[in-house]
Amino acid sequence: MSEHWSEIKEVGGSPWHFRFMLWVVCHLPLFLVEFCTAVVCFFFWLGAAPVRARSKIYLKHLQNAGVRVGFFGTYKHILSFALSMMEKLLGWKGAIKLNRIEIQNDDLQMLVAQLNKGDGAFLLCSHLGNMEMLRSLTEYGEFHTDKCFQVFPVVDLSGSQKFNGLLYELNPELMENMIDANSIDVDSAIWMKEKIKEGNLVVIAGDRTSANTRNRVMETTFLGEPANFPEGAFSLAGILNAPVYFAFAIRKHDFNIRSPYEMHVVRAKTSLDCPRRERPERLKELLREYTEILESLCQKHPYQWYNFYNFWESAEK
Amino acid sequence: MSDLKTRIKEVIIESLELEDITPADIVDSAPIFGKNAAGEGLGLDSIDALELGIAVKENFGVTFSTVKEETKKHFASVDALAAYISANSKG
Repeated sequence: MSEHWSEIKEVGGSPWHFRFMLWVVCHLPLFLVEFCTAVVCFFFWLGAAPVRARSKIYLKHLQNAGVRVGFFGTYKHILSFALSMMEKLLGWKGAIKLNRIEIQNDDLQMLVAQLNKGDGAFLLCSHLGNMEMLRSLTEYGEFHTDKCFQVFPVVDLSGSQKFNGLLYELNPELMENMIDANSIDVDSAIWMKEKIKEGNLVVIAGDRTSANTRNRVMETTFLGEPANFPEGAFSLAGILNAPVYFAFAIRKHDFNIRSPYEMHVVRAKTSLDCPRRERPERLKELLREYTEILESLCQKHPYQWYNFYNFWESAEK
Repeated sequence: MSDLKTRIKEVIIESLELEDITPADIVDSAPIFGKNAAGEGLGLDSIDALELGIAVKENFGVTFSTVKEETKKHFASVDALAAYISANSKG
């Protein structure tokens, strides 16, 4: 069970399954979409013992942290993930509007003010919740800011090619804004710097280690046990030398795709604008800030964590 | 050419904030990343490489190929980098 997440095959089988999924989302009322998803997920859950086992590892850690997880915990976890895929399809076809987003009493206004001024930022997001869905709003003119901006996510697409094929069909432009995490080089780094300077956002998830550079990790305690986090995602913040925010978008009601969306935005207190020799220490601080927020949100919305691999396995025992 | 090499060394030292190293300490033919058999070299890693690449582009205005192996070749040593910059810089 010492698989890195990138070695786990994309589940869901044939292209036919994905076509059906798209048809359901496009043609049925949302409550029926939820119903169909719940039924399909139930059978998937019965048959997918490895996925259940990996989900259980995560839920155990949550339980140890004091979160109540019931007997059907792994089913709920899988269902929540399936619903997030449905939601992503809805977002990609422009069916999700800004009024679904609920803002919190946090640093969002600071970020909005910055974007309105024409300054960009670097966002550290996660696989908790559905930031990708949120990104789709920018492509359909749904802005909370006065000024339009673009969102450039740094992603590893290798694990979900079939699903991404569907997304590409729905809105190719949204897919073309992506930066491949496996081939960041001088030119793409400079390009990202320029995009931020022009007032856009560059976004990366801080909770998945890179498939290419598995040895570049930072270890910290997460939900009670040491786990590895990607050094590159945090270092990139320093390289791009932009203001850093933590951002999360989470369904308010875990199993309802008509639910409002909680948007959490927190400005990082740790600055990476420092002499290089202090940087490793600062990166650790930044990671600590990030994991603290991630832990508390995981405890509030346990089933919206979409890392289906043993998150703790890779850390040194 | 030797002016250019000194300038490159200054950019390396400045962008990577290498302390206690002067341009004279960097051997023209020694590897920038890692070390060679003779123990020469700055021993920089891949994140350093990215930052150095950005600094070189900003200072000398040259771009690098997206083919990683090729870029690596140009960053092999100060000699290689100087040859690449002089061949590719505008003006």
